[in-house]
Amino acid sequence: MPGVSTWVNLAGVPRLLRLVLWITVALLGAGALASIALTRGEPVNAIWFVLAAACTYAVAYRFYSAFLAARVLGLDDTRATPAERLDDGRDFVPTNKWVVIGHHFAAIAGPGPLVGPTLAAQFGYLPGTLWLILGAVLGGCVQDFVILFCSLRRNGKSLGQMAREEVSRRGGMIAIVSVLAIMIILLAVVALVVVNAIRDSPWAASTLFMTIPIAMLMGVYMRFWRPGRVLEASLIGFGLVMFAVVAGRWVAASPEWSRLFTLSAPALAVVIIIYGFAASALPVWLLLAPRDYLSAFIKVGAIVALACGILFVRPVILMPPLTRFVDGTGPVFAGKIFPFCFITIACGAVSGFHALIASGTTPKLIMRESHARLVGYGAMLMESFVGVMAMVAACALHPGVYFAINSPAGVVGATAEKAAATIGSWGYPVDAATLDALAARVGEHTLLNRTGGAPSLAVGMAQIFSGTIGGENLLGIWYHFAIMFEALFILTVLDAGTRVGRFMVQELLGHVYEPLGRTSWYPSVLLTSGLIVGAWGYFLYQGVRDPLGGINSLWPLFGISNQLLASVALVVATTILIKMGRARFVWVTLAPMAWLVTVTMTASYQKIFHADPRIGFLAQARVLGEQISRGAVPPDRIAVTERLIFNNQLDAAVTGLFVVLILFLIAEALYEWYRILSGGKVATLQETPHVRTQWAEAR
Amino acid sequence: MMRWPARMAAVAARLWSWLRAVSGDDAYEAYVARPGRRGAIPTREEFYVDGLRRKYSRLNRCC
Repeated sequence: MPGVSTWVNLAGVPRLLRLVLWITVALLGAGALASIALTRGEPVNAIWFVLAAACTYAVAYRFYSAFLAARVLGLDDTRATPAERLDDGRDFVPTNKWVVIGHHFAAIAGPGPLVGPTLAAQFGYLPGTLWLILGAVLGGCVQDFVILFCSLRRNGKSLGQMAREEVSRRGGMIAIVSVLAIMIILLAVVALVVVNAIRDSPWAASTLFMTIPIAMLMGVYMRFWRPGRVLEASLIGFGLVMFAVVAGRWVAASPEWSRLFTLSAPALAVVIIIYGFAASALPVWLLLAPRDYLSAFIKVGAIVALACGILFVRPVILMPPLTRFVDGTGPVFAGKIFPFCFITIACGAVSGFHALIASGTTPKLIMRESHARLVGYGAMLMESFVGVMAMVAACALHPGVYFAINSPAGVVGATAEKAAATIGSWGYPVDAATLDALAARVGEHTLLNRTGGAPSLAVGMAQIFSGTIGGENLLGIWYHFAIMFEALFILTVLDAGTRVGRFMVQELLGHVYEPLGRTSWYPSVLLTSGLIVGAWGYFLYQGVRDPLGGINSLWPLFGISNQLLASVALVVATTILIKMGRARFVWVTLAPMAWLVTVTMTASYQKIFHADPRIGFLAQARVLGEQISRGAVPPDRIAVTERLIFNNQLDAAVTGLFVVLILFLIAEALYEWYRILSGGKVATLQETPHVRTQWAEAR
Repeated sequence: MMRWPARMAAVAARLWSWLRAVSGDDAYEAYVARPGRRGAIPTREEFYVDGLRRKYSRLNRCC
């Protein structure tokens, strides 16, 4: 197709040979998908997952994204992009497409595609894997690509601005409020993942704490000693972090140091809240930026290493394709496979948050409209592959071990014996000695009840890494490397998210009292940092105190909010396609939007009103209230129980708020679509006018 | 035809160049060398700090 590049240049290959090649790739992918979907009773090798994903991605990229680019969006390489027209060398910078995809992938790939699939593995490997692959090619990639294109045609405007201009003024406000609310839930839940991963673990905690002075040293290096030398500083930082991982073992072995770094979950939550406040208020060059550089390098390195490790070790998948927990009684989180599998895995399949990145920095770097296909569609395929690898790492664990690590104490018990007995009764035999031995092998006292997905993923990664390099001797080092890698970039999300949340609150408060809107006025900085940290800190502390592990409440809430944001993005995209006169192709965004609205509305309804107290917030609040009324709660626990009741009611209210916001936006959009399609209103696109490119050919 | 050590060196050089561009390590050189640039050139330190301020005033990391 003209103006549309492909990953591999097959222009010189005869047409028939190309056809045969693509048919072979498609058949190989179909065969691999069939083998992981239809195999029963025999362990499946992870290589089939890689093959199924890679072939599906290749076919989807070659054909579906080309169709979107040429027929639906009509990418036009004769049109100058904002990077060309507004080139200022700072915000708008024409950039090579392979560099842009690097930037974009580093920005969209956070902890979500690692944690979500690990949690969803409780349903078995099949539903999550299929959703990751198919959800990405038909939903997530389409959303990212179309929103990137829309922003590209509007000088890099944000999703909120596009919603305001193309849907309605209220639509823009809904998008902004949704983003702020989602960010608060997101920051709380990712902080909870870190807390559950490193609580009572002096090795993990000391390693993570060491990353703070290391980041500050890098900050000083890049600010004063060698300004802007990012690679040098990152290399030094990486070396020091690896040393910190190894030194963590010595800390754990020393009684004095070990005592200092053994922190309970509530203590750790308080420390992270204080840290979040400091990271938001301190100069960005000192802590946030260097940590971000360090985290980005380690993130990409660890993901590449995991991919190589899976290909080298070719682990066998021990988790069955479907577990008994598809019925909604899962110990990791409660709820049936529909809708909860599809909100548990957001990033990796469809993530609304990506729309914010695709309508932020990225469109200001793109040199040619056709590059949006590689960057928007291609980067999301890469993230989906990260999700598939996380699924492989989690499912390569023995199911009994997986459930022991990921189930809260309130469900399986707090001792290895009790957990082994409970999990064994579910049909996943595991003995207490095995659990204790595994913890000892990775250098921990216990791995039980570490809800949140990070530790089980770390064990899976450590087994794959140690199968490649170092064997059993390095299992502990690899486990703590994986924990450090997950925690490091989760904290980076926390730093950056808190800071951006602070700016959003300042913007809102600036309408009330002008000085509060000034981002450099220190009283405002402290006040708004406190507000945003207090908001996510409240949900974090609530999660830490939750007897069901917190993840059971907070991760679905995050998934619902993220998928609702994706619905917002797809509503905006659909509106723009209709206004562009492409109504016959509107199914490309309308179908994933309809699916996401169905999933999120069902999940929201169940999270609020379901009669099972493990699922429904209000049912949980009612059960706890009845316990107090019956006198079944000891006097010293009444205050805590009352707080739990309030927290459940608050969670229900937050879920309800998300639902009302999105329904309002959809109603506005439907009315707009009806008026345009019925001829009652002339469609007015807010695109920038066509300006012919001055560049002779795409670079 | 390039000999394989020369080809490997060329690949390594391209990879290094890509890494510098993705990480922002070469941002200052690229800014200074930019054709059509107007106004005084900031120092490397000023450019770096200003770039960070811009980057971290908006959403730049996803979940």
